[in-house]
Amino acid sequence: MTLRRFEGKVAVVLGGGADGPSRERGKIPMGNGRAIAMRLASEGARVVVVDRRLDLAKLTVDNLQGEAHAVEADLANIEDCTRIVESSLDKYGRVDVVIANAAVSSSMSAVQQTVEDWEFSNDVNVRGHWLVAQKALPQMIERGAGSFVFVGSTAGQLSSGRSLAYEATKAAQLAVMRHIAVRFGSKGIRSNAVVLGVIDSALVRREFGDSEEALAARSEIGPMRRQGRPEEVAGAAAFLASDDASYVNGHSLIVDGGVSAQWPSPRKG
Amino acid sequence: MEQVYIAGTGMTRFGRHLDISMKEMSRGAVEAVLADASMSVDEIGAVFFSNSLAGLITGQECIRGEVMLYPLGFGTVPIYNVENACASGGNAVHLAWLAVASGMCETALALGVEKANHVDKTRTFSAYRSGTDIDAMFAVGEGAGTDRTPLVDRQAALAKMLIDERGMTVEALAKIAEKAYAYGALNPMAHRQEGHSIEAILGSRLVVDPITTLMSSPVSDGSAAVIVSRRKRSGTNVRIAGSSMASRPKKGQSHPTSAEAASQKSLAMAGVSVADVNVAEVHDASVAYEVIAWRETGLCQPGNEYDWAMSGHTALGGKLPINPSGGLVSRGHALGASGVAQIHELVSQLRGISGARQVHQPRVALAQIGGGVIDWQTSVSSVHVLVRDEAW
Repeated sequence: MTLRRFEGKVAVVLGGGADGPSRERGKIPMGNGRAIAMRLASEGARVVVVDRRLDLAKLTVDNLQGEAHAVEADLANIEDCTRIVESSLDKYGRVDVVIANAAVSSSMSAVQQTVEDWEFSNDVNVRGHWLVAQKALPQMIERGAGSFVFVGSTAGQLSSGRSLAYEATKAAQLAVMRHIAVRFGSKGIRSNAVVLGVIDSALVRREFGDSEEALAARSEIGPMRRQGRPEEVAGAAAFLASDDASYVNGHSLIVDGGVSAQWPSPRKG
Repeated sequence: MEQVYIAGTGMTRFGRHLDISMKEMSRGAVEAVLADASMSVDEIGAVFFSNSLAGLITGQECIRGEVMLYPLGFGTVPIYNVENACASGGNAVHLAWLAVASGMCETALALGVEKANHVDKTRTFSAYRSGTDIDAMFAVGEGAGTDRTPLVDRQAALAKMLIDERGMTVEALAKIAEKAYAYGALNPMAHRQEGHSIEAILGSRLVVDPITTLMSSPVSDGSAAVIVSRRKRSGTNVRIAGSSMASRPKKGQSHPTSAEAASQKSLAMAGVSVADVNVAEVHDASVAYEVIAWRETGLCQPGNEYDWAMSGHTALGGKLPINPSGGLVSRGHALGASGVAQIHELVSQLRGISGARQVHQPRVALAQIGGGVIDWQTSVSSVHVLVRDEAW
């Protein structure tokens, strides 16, 4: 049975042009935002695909099944953030679902961290998501319904010791998610997060490399012995966004193949 | 349906007029509107007389219109008495439009007159109470209906909603009131012409938190009149392109509100969209109502209210000037006359005769007014869309 959980609904997907490693012939490269946009569209949503790069957003729009609209916007830019919801309201008259997926990452420790990178990470990973939510909330509250899915990271809950700004801002992003869930739950608004482990996306390949060795090393870290796929993120995000999750609110759904379930146990000598 | 033009408009100054009778106020508006239309009483085919409170304030509950118009020489012309609380005036204009559009008569008069003030203030506040379902009074605080109109309690609840859910602030509400007073100071027909600063507005008496006296419309007496006709007048013409009324949605439903339904219908009837509107007069029984009206007419998206208030979006020279008359807050709120006075203002704007308050070359104007409260929602709203076809 094909699910049509978003029939009649409008979804804004930030970072909806996100691509990833090249795929077999005939399939476009897939990142988390793109996979989510395509999944929501396939379930009947009209999708506003937002990306810093319009060509990538358009590639998503051209390849999804259903009605969609590409918007060029940079989450680091305050005016762009406020314009996103307006463009959706102009085009479709409403916003039912916001997928807060867009992030930048660096790799500086607390000693190396620069103020510029700290602020840029905060602008995109936290402030941009809040600003979009600020514009989307009033019309959701007015209708008494709306759903946010923040695309978070296990780095917001656990530290790999790799990037201070990324870890701090991804933790703050989850705080924004919980605030909306708590403050506006009585208005029919739900807010949740998918908390991602190692997913084989363009961002992860940029940060951790795409050599055979790097891919193999990433596969080895979890009990499932493979990386996650953006389509698997999309399945979890679509669940949280949909009425199937109608009593799920303020939740961080970990999508990491069990990596964070592990405890490094000492071996018998 | 016939095309309906506005042949003339007129009004008397709104204010606390304990010493002016309803008959005198009626005469003032009728003489003004006939002069503006260059018409005589005998050319009027029907009169729609709107008044809300006379029965409770003066005791003239029945045949109000006939009593007021008899001294003015109206003969056998039918006079219809119209009552719909604050929306009475909009209701009268709507019916005058209907009378002409339907072909019932060539020319009709909508006349709104209100004498709400009384030496005994509790009589006025108690009269306002009838703008609700008196069997099922909505929850209000102590003193509602004796030291204030009970409708202020709903205004305060709406203001809190705007702050909690739309990002408004008390200062932004005060800024809207400041704008109203700035334009009222330029309007010789306004009740409050003295102008007030944001500090004064915030510092005035708190009626129901966060609404202060200067954020609310005053209790006004006054009159306003509009003549509509199939016949074009000489000079610039304004036509009623859309006219409708709507009531509160069914119990348990919250949308479309009466204002949303009426606005959508009138805009569709006029064949224009909200983006085409150049100037509007909306119902600001308090500034909270004005902000609600921005949204319910479709002019403003929810969430943009704070930006609109703070950026001058609705000021003269802004993208969409709203309430250039000073609105109910400053021009005043004479229940039966307020909706008619809105049309008077917008026709002046579209003709280009508003002087210091003139909006730059408007073509399309929207008027919205609501009346009464049933089960926490405005019970009735009327919306008119006026169009100037002639180039500037």
